[in-house]
Amino acid sequence: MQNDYYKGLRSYYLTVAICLVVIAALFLISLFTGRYMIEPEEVIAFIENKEIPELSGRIITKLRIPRTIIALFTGASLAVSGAIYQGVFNNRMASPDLLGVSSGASLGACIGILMDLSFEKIVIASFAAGNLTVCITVMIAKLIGKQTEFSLILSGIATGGLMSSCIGLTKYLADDERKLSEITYWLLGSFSSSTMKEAAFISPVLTICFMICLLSVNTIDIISLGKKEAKVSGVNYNMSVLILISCATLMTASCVSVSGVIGWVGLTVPNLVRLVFGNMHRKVLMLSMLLGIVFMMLTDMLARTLSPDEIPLSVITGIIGTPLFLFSVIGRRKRDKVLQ
Amino acid sequence: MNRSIVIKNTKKLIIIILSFVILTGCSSGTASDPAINKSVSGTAADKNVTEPDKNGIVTVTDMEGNDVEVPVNVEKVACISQSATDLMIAFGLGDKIVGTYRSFTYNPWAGVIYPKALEYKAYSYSVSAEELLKDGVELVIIQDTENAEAFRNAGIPVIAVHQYSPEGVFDEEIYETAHILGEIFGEETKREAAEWERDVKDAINEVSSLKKSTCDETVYYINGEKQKGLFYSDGGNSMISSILSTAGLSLATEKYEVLNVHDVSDEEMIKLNPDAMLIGGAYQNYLMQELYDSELWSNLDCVKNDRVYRIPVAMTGIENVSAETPVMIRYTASLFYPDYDYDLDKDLKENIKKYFDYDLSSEDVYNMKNAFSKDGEVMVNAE
Repeated sequence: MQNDYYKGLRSYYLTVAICLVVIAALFLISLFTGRYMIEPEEVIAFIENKEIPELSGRIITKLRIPRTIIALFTGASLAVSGAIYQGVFNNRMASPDLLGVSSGASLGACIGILMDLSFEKIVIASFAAGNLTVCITVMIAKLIGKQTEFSLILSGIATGGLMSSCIGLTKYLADDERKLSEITYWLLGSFSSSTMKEAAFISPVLTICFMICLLSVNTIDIISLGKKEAKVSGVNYNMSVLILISCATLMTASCVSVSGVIGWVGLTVPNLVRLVFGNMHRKVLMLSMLLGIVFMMLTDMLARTLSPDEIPLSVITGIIGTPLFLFSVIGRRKRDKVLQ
Repeated sequence: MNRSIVIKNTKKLIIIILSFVILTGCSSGTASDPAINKSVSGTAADKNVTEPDKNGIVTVTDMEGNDVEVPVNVEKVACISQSATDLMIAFGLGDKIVGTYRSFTYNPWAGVIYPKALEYKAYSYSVSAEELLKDGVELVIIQDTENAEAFRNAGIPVIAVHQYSPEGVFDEEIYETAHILGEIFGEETKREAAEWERDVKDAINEVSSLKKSTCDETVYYINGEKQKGLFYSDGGNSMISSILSTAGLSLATEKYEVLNVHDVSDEEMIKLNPDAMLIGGAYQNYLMQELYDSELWSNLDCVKNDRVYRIPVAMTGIENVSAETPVMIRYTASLFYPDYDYDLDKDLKENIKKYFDYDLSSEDVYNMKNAFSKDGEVMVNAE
């Protein structure tokens, strides 16, 4: 029994180590991958602080590094927030998309764009609308009655639908030649306009949220057992849920505000991790974060390399994410049958 | 006991890994700053920024009010605007264009009148900044600024030009794109732009004198540049509104700002009941068919009275701000003032000869008037 435990732990650490190596490798590869050909030697020279052609330097510093860093943070945030929603609501279908958080945060950002607000204010509007959406979703779920998987998902779909309609209204009101295209393009998700300023703006917020979440893994485990069990274990249920949901929503809203709406990451990645490593959140959160980073960095590289135009990120995450999610669902069913 | 030690170690490991991830992110960020200085230092571009050379940079205010610093002697331009592309070619700057908005490349007349246009790359508004850098683009002139921030981040100056006025009425803005091109490309272009402006003003004066005879008709415009349907039109702050008002006419959708596709409902259309209709763009033949097939549209007074008019398609749809604008102004007036002595064929031939040095045959003019290609085929816009 104890051998199994240590065996599981060993494979977990091994996976973490592999993910870290892959992330480091992807970070390097992303610096010389794109529509403009930069030789790996130039990237190495750049890292060694040697002289490289001006254009290559400009592309690496102004385009590729900012977007890769934002991809890194976005992948981690969306996957971790998905894992938290799933843990807190004890619902494997919960994700920023399905709970309507993405739509709510998008609505906040759309209103911000429509009102010509600054970037910082758009983030705040996005965060406020995202939080409001979670509150509405949870309230409707309570009104529906039993806290089953379906009541929460149902209320998430309803709230998300309402938010989508409001987004439609902002698009209707938007100026056709300027703001409408900005909103439409942004709603599909892209890192094309990423800057170091944006990265610097979101990274402290996200880092603090990561810290809080990663240090609360045991609390999430207890919360996912239910309110009664949490109280018996001495956990302040309401406060913990509030803090965790706020962190998850803040992470989602921050990502939505800089890169637009990116679906599937928050749903697919944690479910894949749960399939392989079980439901202990200390493993789920850490691996979701790392795999989310890998997933998003690969997505970004495809988005900016495959075509002369930027392919919207949600298009790629949808194409890759759907089969992966189905795989995780089918895999879970098979595993449950074997255990029975 | 063992289990609690493992949990403690796990927590430590988590914090170490997290620190590593954060440091990876932050170090990449901080490393980039000296790298910017390093990689860009010593280059001409950097000298322009750090030690501005008054002769090397020209500051241009674009149509969104942005002050944009553009290096003089720009040789490679991504002109992602049909209107600006038309004007650049007319002003003798066609060689500097690397790529243009994709719809422009689908218009077969562009390649006939100016064969080098066949070499232009087709860009969309969401073309990636890296693609532009790969093509060596030094300046972007663009109509839809959705991706402009990415170009600016890549160090490519972006000039926004529009076919409508954010301020209200599109009036003096007609000349804005030409003025901007003059500011960027120097004296010769300024002279070309000034001559074009004179031609446009002559046409306006000529048509304005006709307004003595009262004509307060309303005209509905269908923008057939893209296949977006019969409701795709323009509003009161647009170029077409300005052209119509010059001739003493008013756009039926005047009260709207630049329109979205479905802003005019079926019922609204019946209420608008325009006196006449103008259909432009490469898709006009399809739209004309759709118009006559529709029960609603075919029963509008202007359709029943046979007052649906085509707008010729030359280098671009002539209702756009373009070298052909003087022709559009006179042609529009000729449709509503039967006494106005005007010969579209002659005007179009002279205009194309003057600005593009191309001799149109009578058959060519016939094809342009019907939105056909040079071979007399229906123009198919691949978009």
